[in-house]
Amino acid sequence: MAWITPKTDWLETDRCTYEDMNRIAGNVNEICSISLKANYTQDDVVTLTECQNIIIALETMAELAGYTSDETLTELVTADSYNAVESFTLGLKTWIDLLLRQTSAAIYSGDGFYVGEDKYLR
Amino acid sequence: MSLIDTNNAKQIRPPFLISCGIAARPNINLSFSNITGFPIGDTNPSSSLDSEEWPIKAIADLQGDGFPLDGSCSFYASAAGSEDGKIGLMTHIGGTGSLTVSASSEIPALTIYTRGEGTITAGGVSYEARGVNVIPVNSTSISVTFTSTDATARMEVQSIIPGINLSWDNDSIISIELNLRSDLSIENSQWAVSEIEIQAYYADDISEAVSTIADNVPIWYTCGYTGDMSPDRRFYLSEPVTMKDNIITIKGRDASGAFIKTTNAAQILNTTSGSGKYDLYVKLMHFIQDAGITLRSKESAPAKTSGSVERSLIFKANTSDVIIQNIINLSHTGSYWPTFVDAGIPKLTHSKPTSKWDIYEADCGDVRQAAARNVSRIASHDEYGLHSRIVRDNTAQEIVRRHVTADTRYSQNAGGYYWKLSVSNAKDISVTAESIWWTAILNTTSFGVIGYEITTDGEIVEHESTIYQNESVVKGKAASIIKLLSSIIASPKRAGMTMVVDPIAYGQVFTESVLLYPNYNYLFNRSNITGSFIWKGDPRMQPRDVFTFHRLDGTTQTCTIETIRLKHKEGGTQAEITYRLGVC
Repeated sequence: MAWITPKTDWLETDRCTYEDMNRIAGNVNEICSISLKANYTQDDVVTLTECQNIIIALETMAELAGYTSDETLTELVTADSYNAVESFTLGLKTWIDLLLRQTSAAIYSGDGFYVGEDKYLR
Repeated sequence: MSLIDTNNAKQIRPPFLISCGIAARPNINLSFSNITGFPIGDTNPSSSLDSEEWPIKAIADLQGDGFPLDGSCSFYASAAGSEDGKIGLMTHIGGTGSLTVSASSEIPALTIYTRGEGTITAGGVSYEARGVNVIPVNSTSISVTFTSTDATARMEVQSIIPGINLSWDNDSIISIELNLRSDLSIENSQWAVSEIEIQAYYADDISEAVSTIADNVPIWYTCGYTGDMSPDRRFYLSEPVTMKDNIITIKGRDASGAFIKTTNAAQILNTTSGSGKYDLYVKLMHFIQDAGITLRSKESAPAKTSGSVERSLIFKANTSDVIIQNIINLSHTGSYWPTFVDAGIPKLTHSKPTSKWDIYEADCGDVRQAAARNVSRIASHDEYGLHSRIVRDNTAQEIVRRHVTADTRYSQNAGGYYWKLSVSNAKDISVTAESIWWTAILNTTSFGVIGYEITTDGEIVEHESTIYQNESVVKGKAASIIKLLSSIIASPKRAGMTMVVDPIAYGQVFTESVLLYPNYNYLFNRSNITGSFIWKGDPRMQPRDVFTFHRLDGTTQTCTIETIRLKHKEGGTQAEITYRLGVC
């Protein structure tokens, strides 16, 4: 499943649908190259194990990529916990993209070190 | 300020929310088998479905428009339901699930709690799922099928219990009438039982099933506003439930209806001048509880003082309604005011009540006031008069010796009044003024002994006799009754009628040097002014509550509510209140 921009403005009055769960799990699959369940329908319930797998995948990938975040991932079914998961996912995706672009830039400029948009250390 | 108070103060009050129901569950457990078509649920449906008190756990369910993120849901984990929460059984969206319900003996009906749109099919009949459905059974087993009729949602089976457990709210209540009663009469005051009558709509014809509901099944009622509901009142079915043209009629009375059926043997109450208040209050509590009443609340017993003058009082054999009404009618002294009110919320207190409510005459219909003749003299034709005294004999007399078998229950009528009865070789002893009951500890055994006697002729005569060990010997200290007064007159003297009473007890209870019971003098002080009016009503009010009556002329009166007839009908609420002037 292609990356879909995460929703990071969850409110307590919102409801989580099967499409939201597919986006959340699909995005985790996208950045972690794994295959969590991402084909939820209205006939599903979200299990505790599925929730835990999403959190474990994100934390594992963050550790591998050296990504740190202020967000605390929890198994609570609240707007805050959904904001945390989706914000964490977005931050991790941005970080990984940055690392990938850095790698490309290093290849392109020889010994140069890419530190941000249009800035190279030589 | 409570929501009810706030709305009572308004000229036009929003309609009350009303909730009532009947819980007619027989003492039968159900089991469930052949469970198919429920992909989600508790791992122990046989116990979780048959437990309607267990709260329902909301899970992260994607049916329909998903689940809320307000913290009310948890992620689903396959687990057994428990007292902390359960899921029940859930079909696929738009799906069908079925199960077989079995009972240990024949049940007239099942009450099934569901959520979601769908049908319930049992015994070849389909019912529209309404949240709570009563399904006739008349068997020990029945197969039930649940079908969701919403392609995006499940049928959720939350509970299945034996019998009929129905509740109604404003949408289905046609009328409710509560008659909440006390009797504040000066003359011939009698215990008054409170009653409820509910008429409510139910879509399916369950007339046969409701006719099987047994007497004394609990009926509950509450009323108010969201967040401020009146305390639950509990009544008990007193007449068969009927159903006609989809209207169910339920009639019940409060638990105190049991008083009239509870007969008490003559009871002794031994007190001291320091413990009179305490002992009388505790004795009153025992009379209430021995009739099977569970008090919703009670005031702690009054403290004892050091007064040591001993007295006894004997309640003659009587039913509990007579004794309890007599105590709460004749024990008013200073701030000591033993009061028991049921009306669905059984409560026992001993402190003199203060004004609890304000009622404005401007909010009432016509106030009708009446004055009865004053009582100028109270007299009795009882052989021991209106007031009597118990004289205690401090010598324990042997009443009887019984040969007993260990762990066997015995009783002995002592043949008169005793202020103290005791028995040896006994446990689990209970005593009344005339009788004693006990369980023997040891077997009575016997052995023969031979004695010798020398006659005047110088002959030696042999005598054989039997000696018994471990008999139960009943002993008693007698109580005799002395007449003190045949009548009393009001002081200062006044014109009026003579009230003749039949005392239910001999002797007196004092606190220090003040007569506590039977305090007939108090009746001279009870107002002879009574009244009635129609008001908007308040579901929290109880008989014997004291209120401040704000009259149209700007004056106020302190009054005591005697009866409340609270009616909910056609979306409105009305109360007919009768009262007596003063604190009664």
